[in-house]
Amino acid sequence: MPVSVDTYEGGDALIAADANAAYTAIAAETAILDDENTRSEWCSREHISQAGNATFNLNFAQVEDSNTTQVINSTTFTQVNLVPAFRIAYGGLVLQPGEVLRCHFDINVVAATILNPNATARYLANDASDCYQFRFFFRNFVSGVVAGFGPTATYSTTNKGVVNPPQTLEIVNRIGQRCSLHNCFLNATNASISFDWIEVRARVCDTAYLPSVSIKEGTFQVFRALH
Amino acid sequence: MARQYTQRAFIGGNLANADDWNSEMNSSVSELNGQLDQNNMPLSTVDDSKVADPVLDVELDTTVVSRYLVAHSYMPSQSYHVSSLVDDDPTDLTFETSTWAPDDWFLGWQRMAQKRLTPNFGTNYFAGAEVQFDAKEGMLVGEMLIDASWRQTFRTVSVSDGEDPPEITLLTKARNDEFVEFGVFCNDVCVARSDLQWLGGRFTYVLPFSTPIGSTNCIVDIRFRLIFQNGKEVATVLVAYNASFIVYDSSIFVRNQYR
Repeated sequence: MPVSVDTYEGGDALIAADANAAYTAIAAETAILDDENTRSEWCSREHISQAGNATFNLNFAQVEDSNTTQVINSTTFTQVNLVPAFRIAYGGLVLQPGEVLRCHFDINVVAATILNPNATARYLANDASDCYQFRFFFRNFVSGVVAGFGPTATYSTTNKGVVNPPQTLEIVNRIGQRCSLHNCFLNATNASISFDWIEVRARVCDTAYLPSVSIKEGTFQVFRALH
Repeated sequence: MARQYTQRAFIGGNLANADDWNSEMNSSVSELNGQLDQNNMPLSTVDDSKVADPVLDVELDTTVVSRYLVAHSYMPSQSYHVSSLVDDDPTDLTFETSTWAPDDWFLGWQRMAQKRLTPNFGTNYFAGAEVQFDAKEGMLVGEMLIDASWRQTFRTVSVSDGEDPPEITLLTKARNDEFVEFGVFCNDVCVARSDLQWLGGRFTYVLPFSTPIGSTNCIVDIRFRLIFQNGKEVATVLVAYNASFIVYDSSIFVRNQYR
């Protein structure tokens, strides 16, 4: 905030108390400098603290594994666990309104058990029946509620349609697949959100068509944009 | 401003001249009143607590976890812009999709926003298809995600063996010649493309992009090309089925890193 001190005219008596008040005002102000005291663009890169958490982006965390294979065979979303588990624990990371948490995940699907297309219907019950999915889940540190958030990545293993062809068609299976998922979670509420953990989960959509898929070689990264 | 030096020091026994006093004090005070700059401020001291909080601008947010979300966050060094249309419950088969039936197909880039209108109180927000904002000079980096389905197309034709009398058999032929390409456009300029992908089912694509940008109003949107070949059948086509191109979840986020 601005500093104000008395000025004197020629012949004025310089009172000790007035002189001391001026020094005191300056001393007090230098401890509470704010935007009114500084010039625009005063801050250079050298002025920014590099100690501890970074100032603009922080909490970069990563999980990766390339050796372990996990079989996903449930229609319920199950934690991706390639030992280590694809979970990043925070224990109360507070995301203020307007702050951003960016999550990125990708993984290989290396095998799939697809039921013989001639042994089942030639068409799918719905557009997701031969699919597997990935999604991010988080646990609210305050409420304890676990919920999915962000988009779901869905991948099919065949080219079957949902319309029954008059005759049997040659079905093309597509098993090996690099799968990706992102979520740029922007806290668009007026309240802070506290994250206990974030993890990646996977499921198969319909075991009547797709009993299981095997996943391997994944990476999962999360970081937070503050300023 | 650089450090200020004492112009007239008071020496023991002298009278304190009012002009000298005023000059010295005003020199220091004017420095404090808005002239402090990088020469005065200590290094490595600006941390999280000294930087302004983000300014949030939510255009559309239908739920807390955002089934439709178009929002912006303006930060001191960067800004984030998010547009997403997301199914909160992936097992919900009634979730809104955007469908391009065969009559909607044409060659060239198609804007996803043309069908992903997401109107709210009379205004279209194009959630999950595009995002508009005022960019500052610097870089745009981001990613789009799209969960799309284009299933197998087939034709059933009658085939004659050429004998007399001819024996007619029905044959259903799969057509696996459909390709799709996804792209990200910034003010109508393509800044990322996926190249042609054989869709042949349902897949999710994540496409990163980056581009330099000036200080300007900016629209970043998702587009796609549908490549299909209507090969002619010599035999009579009895049944023709063309699977529609369907879009489920989609999202796009843009980070504007200021120069």
